[in-house]
Amino acid sequence: MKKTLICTLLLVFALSLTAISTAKSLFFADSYMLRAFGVEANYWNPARLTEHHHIDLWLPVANSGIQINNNALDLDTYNFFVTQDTLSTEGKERILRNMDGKLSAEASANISVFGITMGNTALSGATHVQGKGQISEKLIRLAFYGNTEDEYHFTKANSNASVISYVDLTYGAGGFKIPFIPENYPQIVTGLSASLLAGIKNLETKEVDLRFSSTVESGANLDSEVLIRSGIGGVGYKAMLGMYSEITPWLEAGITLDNLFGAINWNIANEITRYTATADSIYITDIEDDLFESSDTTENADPYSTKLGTELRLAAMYKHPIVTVSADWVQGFSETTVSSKVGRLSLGAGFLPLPFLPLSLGISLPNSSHPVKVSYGIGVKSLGNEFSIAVQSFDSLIPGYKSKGIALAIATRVWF
Amino acid sequence: MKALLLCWISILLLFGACEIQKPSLPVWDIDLAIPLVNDSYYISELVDSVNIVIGDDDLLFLTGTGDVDTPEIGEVEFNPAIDESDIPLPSGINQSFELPFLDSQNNAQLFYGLVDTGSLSYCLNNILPETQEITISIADITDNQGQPLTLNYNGVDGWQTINLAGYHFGEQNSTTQLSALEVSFHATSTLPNGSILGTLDVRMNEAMSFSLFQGELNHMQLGINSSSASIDIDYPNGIDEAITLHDARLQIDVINHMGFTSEFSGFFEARRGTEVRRIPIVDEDGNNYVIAQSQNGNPGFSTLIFDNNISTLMQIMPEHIEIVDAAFTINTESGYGTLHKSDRIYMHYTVDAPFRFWLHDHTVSVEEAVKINISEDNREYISDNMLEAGLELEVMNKIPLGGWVRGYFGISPNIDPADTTTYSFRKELQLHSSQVSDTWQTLPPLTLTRSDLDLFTNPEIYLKWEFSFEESQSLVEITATSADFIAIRSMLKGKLRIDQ
Repeated sequence: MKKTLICTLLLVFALSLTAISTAKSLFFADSYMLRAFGVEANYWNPARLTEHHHIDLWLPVANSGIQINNNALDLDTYNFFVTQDTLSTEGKERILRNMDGKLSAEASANISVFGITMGNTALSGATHVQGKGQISEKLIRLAFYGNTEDEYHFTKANSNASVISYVDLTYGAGGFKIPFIPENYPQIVTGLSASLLAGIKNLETKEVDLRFSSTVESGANLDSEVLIRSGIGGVGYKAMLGMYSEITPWLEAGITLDNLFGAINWNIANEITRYTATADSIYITDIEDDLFESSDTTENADPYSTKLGTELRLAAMYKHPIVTVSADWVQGFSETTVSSKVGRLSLGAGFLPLPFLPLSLGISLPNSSHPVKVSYGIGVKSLGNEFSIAVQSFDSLIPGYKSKGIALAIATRVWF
Repeated sequence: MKALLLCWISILLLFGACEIQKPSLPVWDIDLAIPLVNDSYYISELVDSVNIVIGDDDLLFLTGTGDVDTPEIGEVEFNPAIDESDIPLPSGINQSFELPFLDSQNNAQLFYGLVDTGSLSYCLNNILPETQEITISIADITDNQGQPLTLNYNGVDGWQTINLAGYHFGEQNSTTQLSALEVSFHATSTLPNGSILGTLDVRMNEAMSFSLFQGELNHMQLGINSSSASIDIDYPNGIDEAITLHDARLQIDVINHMGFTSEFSGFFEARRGTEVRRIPIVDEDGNNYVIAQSQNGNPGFSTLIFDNNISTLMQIMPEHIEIVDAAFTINTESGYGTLHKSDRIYMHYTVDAPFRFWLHDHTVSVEEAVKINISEDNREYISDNMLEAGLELEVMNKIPLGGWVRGYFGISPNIDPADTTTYSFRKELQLHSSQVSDTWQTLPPLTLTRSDLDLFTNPEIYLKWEFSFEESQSLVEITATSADFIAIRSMLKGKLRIDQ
């Protein structure tokens, strides 16, 4: 049972990777739409491709970020758990107390491959790995306390996992002013990027229906079915439409629609694996009979698509020579591996205390499915390049033992 | 601004100072509840139609059967005592006379007989030389072809003996007694008719026997093979101390191959230690049973039933039951009949003891402890993972038996419940009879503590059972209807340590 629990937890964390658009966005807790320019504008708002009047370069791996987080366990609790010889009831409750019905975890990674701007266009590529998973709190209680209840029912709603990995090749063009706007009105600049997506691996939970009961009247009964669909190799696409406007010299606003028409079609090697286990009215006195039947079958599956849900992002930024403050609201229209229907507000601030020393701060306010995220970044900047690092804490203002997740990012920019 | 920078660096250092422990899972304890059993055990399931059967009023019966037989009856002996002398033999005249043929012991009246052993002797005396032929014929003695026994003079003087084995006396299935043998003779000579040619002496004065006898017998007795007519009862674990049977019934089916009715006499004798009880095997009127005879080649069937009397024997819970001094007697009451020497009597007996008894407050201890082998894997599992175990039991008892069940656990087979040093621990539970409670009884949970479980880390342990019954206030009857059952439902609950 202990091995099972370990495997399940590892599976959750291993398969739970969520979206990071670019590594630099981690510096501001995703409040980054009006801060991105150059190559990064391909992913945040292609209208801003011409904002930086240089040729901008991305180097392989030089812009990378990784994050991992969960909803219940902070580092202190983790350390407590792994250093205990024997887990007491108090210890179990300490682990379970913040689960709120489930232990969910997310993680993602984003690794730059290349990128370059040419005039008002840009071409870039990056690798994305993202996913998420959940385990019902009741399942963990079952592992911790045994079957203290008569019946258990687990469904996909609180026990699932999904992962997707792909490489994008994105071409963007921006800096197009919308015509016929009077000169004395703020101009609106638009841009468009299109991505060709090469799917690497996809795995998703199609069905979870696990019922277990153990009563003296009906014996032990088990009826479970889990369907896992996986695909290797796929082709997809998505597009982003962005606009922004400098309303005043110190205030900008922007809007984007991301993942337009976004989907990856998995059509090379697809499989559906069905795990079933059944037991009917089992009593120990029936020990000579087969107690339960289990099977796992894998079949080739038809091609299928993974939708990349469309997201609407609204942003505004106040600019000052040494301080910038921004706010981003992102709203998805569907629940997919990369999007959520629950809106999220992020706030970011950038400081330049010294001409060569950029600092960043970001906070993503919590919602029903995500904890608060707080980012801190620092960099070194010169005339033609900039190198920065950042750390992000989940559910804790200060990265430390109370953090329920961590994200790390490095960003390197070269321009000339 | 320097303060802001310092703050930033401090936050990064703070995070950098966090120690992340190497992943390692602790051990913890869980409670498992596993259904053990939920079943009803019907009394009717005990019925095997061989030893346990359902009788009238759905009463359960313990039944036992056996077979007893008699030896073959053998030949019927007959003592004719014929000794006739100086019977004149005239020439040229056919004459006849009768020889009286009666059993000198006055025990048998022969109507027909097939001789197994026996002889006839005759002697022709002073035969004149002019004699040409002398022929003597006994019409009541015939050979297998129906030819009468004929004696011819062949010039030899002195006594001649004829072996009569295989000869028939009288006519088969004759309805009249063969009380005399008719003898005729014819002699020829050169002398004038009427001349006495000599004399004849005849003797049949030795016992003869018939392998097939038809007639009447005044007295003939046939014993039984007594060694096969006994039953030894080995009551398991002293259960006889706890039970007194109320009644029992014995039925004997007799198959009689003899062509005579016979009177069965004998006694049932029951012994328990030095106590002996004996009852005569007689009918309700105190008379011996009369066994029907075989007729027309078909054996006679008789059924003897003992019910009231047999309970007298069973109430001492006998260790040995035997039919003693038993015999089948043919007498004048039997009348006419037929006997073959291979005839015998078979008896098939059935002892029925209804499950109707008194129960006594007495402890029954199973003599031998049960040996339980525990595999190495299970020993390790119990040692490393099992902290406690227990049984939650509910019982619905629909039968009028209740009492205590005790289990004694130890590492030696020599468990003595009276000596606490011979076992490690004991567990017991009380089950009330249906007369006390016929609804679900929640029994106190049986729990095994960690120290109890240590016993199960031995490769071999022993379990000795002990039972004691509630004293019954009245006669207990066990019936086997659909309402007679014991229902048990139980959950096995254990506290396990998860460490791998």
